[in-house]
Amino acid sequence: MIAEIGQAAIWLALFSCLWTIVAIAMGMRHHHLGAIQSGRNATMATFGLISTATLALVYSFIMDDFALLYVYEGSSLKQPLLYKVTALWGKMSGSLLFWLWLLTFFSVMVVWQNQKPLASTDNISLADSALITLSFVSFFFVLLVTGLIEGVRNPLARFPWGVVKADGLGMNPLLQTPSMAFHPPMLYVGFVSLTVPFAFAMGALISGNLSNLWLHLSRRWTMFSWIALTVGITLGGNWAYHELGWGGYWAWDPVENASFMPWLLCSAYLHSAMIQEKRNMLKIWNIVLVSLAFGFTILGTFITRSGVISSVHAFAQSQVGGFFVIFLLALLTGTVILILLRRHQLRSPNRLESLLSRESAFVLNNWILVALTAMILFGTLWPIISEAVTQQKMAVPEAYFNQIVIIPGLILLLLTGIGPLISWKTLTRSNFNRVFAKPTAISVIAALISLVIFYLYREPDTSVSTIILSAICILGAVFVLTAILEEFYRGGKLRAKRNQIGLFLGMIRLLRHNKRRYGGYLVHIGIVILYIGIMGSKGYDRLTTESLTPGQAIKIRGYELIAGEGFQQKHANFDLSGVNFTVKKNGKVFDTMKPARAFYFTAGQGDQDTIESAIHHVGHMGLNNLYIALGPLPSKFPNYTQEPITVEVYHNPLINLVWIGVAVMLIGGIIAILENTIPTTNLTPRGLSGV
Amino acid sequence: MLVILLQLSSQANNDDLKQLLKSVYCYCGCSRETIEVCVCGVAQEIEKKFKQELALEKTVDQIKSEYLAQHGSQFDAIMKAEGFNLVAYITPFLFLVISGLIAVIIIKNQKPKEDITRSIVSDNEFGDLEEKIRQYRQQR
Repeated sequence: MIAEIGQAAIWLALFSCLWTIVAIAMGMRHHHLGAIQSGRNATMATFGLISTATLALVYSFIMDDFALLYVYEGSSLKQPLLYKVTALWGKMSGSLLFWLWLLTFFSVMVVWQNQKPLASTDNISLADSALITLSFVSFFFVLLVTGLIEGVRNPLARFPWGVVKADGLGMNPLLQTPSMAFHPPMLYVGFVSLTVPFAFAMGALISGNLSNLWLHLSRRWTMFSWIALTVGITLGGNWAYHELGWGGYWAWDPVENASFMPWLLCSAYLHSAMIQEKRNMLKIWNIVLVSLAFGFTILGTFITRSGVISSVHAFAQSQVGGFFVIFLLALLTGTVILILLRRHQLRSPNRLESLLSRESAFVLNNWILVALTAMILFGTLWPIISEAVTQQKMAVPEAYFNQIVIIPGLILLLLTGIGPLISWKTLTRSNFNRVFAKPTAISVIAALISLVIFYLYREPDTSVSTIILSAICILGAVFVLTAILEEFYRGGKLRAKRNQIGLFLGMIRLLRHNKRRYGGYLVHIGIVILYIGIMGSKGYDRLTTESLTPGQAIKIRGYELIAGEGFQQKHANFDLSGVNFTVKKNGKVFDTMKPARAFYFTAGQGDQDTIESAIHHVGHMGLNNLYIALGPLPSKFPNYTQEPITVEVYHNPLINLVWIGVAVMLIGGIIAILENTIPTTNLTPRGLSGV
Repeated sequence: MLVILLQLSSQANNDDLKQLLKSVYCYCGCSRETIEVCVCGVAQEIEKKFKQELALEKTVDQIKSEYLAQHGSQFDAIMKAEGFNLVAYITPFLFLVISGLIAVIIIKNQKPKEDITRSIVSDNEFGDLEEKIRQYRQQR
């Protein structure tokens, strides 16, 4: 019965979405307040209906209702409660329902944030125009989960002929980890919330209100998306690092790329939006960028769901690709037509005055970010391109992406330091001397010193190019850090002097009074830390593989790991089998590590196991990792005296800086989002010209 | 002498094996993991097979070609910059360069045309003019 209520809610949502679109469009065209209010109410109703359907599915999971096909495929009696709930997004149709629920929730937030009593037509807000786009996108997703489209089932559909299974197949064991409970929803939050800035941009085009209002209204949404995407991508990397057993966190998998590309475009938009705010320029470009960022979320979903490109994320694939392509084309066509119709109003009154100005630095930053996106997209699609031309589907290795992104990546690092420090309009000599001279000198010295150190302490297989690129990375990192810290110091000192307080308090006040600017600086510091982490962990990682029996040791960079007794533990829905390793450095024991493999024994998954790698923080400040992954265990395990176990040990230098860097980026992002840039006046559009 | 020869041969075999393990992806489903990195049972079996084939004095290229012929070219972990693959290596940099040129052209074209007054009026004259305007405003 619950499932039927959920199904009915989905069907009703189809109509409420349509109602929102029609009512608001008609209301705007004829200045009919009742119609607009009705459209707003329909948005709320859609949220209520989709919430009902989502709750019905979650309830079915919790109650082990194996009469539902989706519950049968994604859960089992022994599955822990947390994973019964997260099974909601474990497969195709449920994840689309969850996506839709988020979208309708954000639509309601848009209504609540911007709603004014409809006393007069002046109070028809830009948000109302945005609701048309939001509902259009919602309609597309509702259509998907109704089960009408080939390749996607209704998540609440029952087995035919009233069949009820005794137990389910269970969720893919790889997904049964705490980080998987948070990684997909965070990515979804990031993807879905990008619909809102896009909807505001479309709202501005539809309503003809092409002032900077849409930009102000959507800034926090864009920051929110950026933060959610950052968290989601990092959690995914962390999951891969812990669960996949290859000692890395990023492999340029197509689905990783699909989440990274909107992040890059979102970052580009956050920068170029500032130029529009400060200098009233790049109006068309900003609309294009925000549309691209949103479009890439749909493209990412297409790549994830269609199975056109093989990926480690092949958990939820179907034949739904064609429908996504049609939707993407419809969005693209609509956006282009609207921009063309409004092109005269989108002309910028101001011009860039110098190549050496903050505007130009931001344009260059946009160039790198957009070019990077295009390069990654090209690499991601290369298997399809190569197959079309040579009839051979080629894989694109991780090394290829590392090669193509390294130069733009380093240019971007330098721009991270240059952009915020250079003055608007044009760079004067005094501005250059004041902010650039010191960081430039210090970074060049640091790069030269690091070059010598990297060369003197190199290992036999370290290439010269790795050493040179590392020194360039140090150059960029020190430049950005010095420049930003000097800005903090100078600003803090001024505040301290003005308010008769200490330097530290002065810096805190600085941060409090200009959250957006200094939050942004913190993000840049985080990026620098991240770069250093990537440099260490990707440039200087080491792998040693041995087959070991008890008592034998494996050596890596001065560490000795001695295999000990095997162990076995029983858990609710899996058995854990592993080996105790004693870790020695300079002959002294300093810890034990317990790599293992988990064997899931739920129905239909008897032979599935996951790698539970052991990770130990070592080195200065624990920034490096020792990482052990076990190969398949012998049949007589825990006895492995006769049959050795393959053991892979990685030494990953500075890898913890990757996670620390992201944490600093997030703190900066959260500080920046706290600043409200929405002007207190002129919140309503100057008129509703319609299209 | 024989011992040295055997050791050299074993070293060469080890290097060949390492090269092989790095050059192909495991077909177990972990599509982005080379045999060297993948810790599944399938990878172990492939490694054993490669060892046996090397012992039979097959070359690295032969073994790799046979593996790719059996499982598909998408399991090739090394994308050599040759043939059609050159397009994959060159195109991204073309994107970078062309879009960079476009960005520079946009910035240059956006620069305002040189201000005629600036070219014919010196800074001193400009200062005098500003002073006159200020005096005029005060008189009004």
